Amino acid sequence: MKKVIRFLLTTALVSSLFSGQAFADDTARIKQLEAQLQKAMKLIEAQSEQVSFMQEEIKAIKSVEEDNVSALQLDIAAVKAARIRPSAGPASNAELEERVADVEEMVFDLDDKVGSETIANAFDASNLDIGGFFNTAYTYVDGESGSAHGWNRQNFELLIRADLNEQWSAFFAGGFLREGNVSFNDDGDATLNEVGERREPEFSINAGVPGGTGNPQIIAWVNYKHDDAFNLKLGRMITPHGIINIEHFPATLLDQEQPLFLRPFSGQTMFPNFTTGGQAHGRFFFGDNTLSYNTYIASSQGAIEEEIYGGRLAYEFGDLGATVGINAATGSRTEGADGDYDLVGADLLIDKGHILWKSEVFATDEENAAGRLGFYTQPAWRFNDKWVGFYRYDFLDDGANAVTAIPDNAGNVTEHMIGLNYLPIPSVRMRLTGTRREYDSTGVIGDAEANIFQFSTTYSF
Amino acid sequence: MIMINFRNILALTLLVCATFAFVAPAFAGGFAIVVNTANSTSAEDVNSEIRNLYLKKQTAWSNGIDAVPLAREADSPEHEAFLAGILEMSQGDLDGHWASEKSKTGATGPREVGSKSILLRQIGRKEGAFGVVSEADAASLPEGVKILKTF
Repeated sequence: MKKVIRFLLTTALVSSLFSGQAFADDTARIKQLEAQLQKAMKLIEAQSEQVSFMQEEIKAIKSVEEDNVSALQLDIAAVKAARIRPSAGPASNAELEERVADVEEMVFDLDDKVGSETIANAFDASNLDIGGFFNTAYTYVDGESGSAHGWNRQNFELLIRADLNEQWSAFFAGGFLREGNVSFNDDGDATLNEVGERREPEFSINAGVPGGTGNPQIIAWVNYKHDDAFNLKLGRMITPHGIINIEHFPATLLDQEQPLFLRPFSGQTMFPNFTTGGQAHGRFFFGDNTLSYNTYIASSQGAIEEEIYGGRLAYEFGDLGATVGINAATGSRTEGADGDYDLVGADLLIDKGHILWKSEVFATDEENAAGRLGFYTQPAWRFNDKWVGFYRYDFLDDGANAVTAIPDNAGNVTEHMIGLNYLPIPSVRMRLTGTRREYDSTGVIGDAEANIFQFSTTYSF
Repeated sequence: MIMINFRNILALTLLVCATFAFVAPAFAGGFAIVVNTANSTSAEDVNSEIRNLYLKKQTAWSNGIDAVPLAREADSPEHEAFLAGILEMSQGDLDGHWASEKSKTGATGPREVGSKSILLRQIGRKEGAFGVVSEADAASLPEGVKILKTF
């Protein structure tokens, strides 16, 4: 047993000796491994830093790419939107082409108007409009003692409007006239001396008298607009009474021979067609309806030193297309005594759809003569934009009789007129009219009749 | 002999309605009056005011702004709709109106603008300007322009 124990002890001792040597080797190895591990850890840390840096770089790159992609996507969306709805985005080619075409057209038009061959300058006007019309007529008159025919009207009128600004404007109408009014003589009856003559027709063209030749200043006024309700006008103007006298110009009239009480041109059978002086006028608007007024202080061409006070008040019912006007004036026809008169009148215009119906009545109270009365009614039917037919019943009692010395007096006159207008284009009006004129007996000379046929054309521009 | 009964009346009513449907103007409800955004005019009962301004019977809007009417080309659908829906005139009536105004006062018709983009730009620049465009064009208005009313 002892031997066994001894063996074991010896073995243990030897083993312990050998095992001490091995421990020393392990420690060294562990240290070596630790060193390697630390080195590896440092490498790993370095690699980690590098990885982190690279990750940051990748993130940054990704971010830039995403932005670029987003931007590209937006551009694509914009382009798509522009293709779908040109006006919502930048101008499309089609729109640009349209605008360029418009500009080219404008330049072309401008070149026509103020280009290299035609240069027009308005001195101080912000806007200058020039227009006019040419009017011609052929008339055939069948009287009781003969007939007459010929081209008795050739008129050219120039219209110019100049605007200085929003408030100040001016308008001018100048005429170049050659007009021969229908007149009559009764051969063999020297006592009549053109008074009350009514049987043998002729055309009288005399320079310097109404209905003759010359180039009169027809209209020339300056207007100051405070607002729509109040305007002031100074100069020579159309006397603001009735309907046809205000419309006046043949370009829009169904018949260029105006109603009896407005003849002769630039005369004053009932009131002066034109006056020179000052006028206040304006309009008030009430929905579809309009109230307008004109008041004036002026003088007629034949009585510059005498004054006429007058005015017109009109109310337009927009829905009905009807306008009702009342008129009044007082003044003098001639310079000096015996020319005073008072005027009252009313007018009714219906302008709705196919219907164009004008009616006027005027009466005067004369200081040294019988009163005058004139009226007409003129219904018209617009078949379409090119054709208009009308009838006019017209009456005038000019207050005198056949034995007074007033020229062109013919007592009471009644006219029945039918007419047809044709407008091949809006600026050209062609008319054909037939008129039956009836002179009442004056007691000195008998009654008489005449048939008048007229073809006329007005070209306006 | 024609029997007058409910069925006949109904058929007649439908026939009349169908006739009116065919003759109804194509422009109904498809156009707009456009103005500058600075224009405070109300759309209520504005037809007569637009008519007076366009015809130059009236020169300023009811709010005091000087009016600048702009026309479309005479043969355009916008102009035809404006004639029938707002002015309630035929082209002949309108031509006659301007011929009369030209002779009486020298006034001429509104400036005609063919291009809707130029029209809208002009309206955007001028306080009192107005014009007519189709509702499709009015769907995308430039800055400074608004719809006053549709018709």
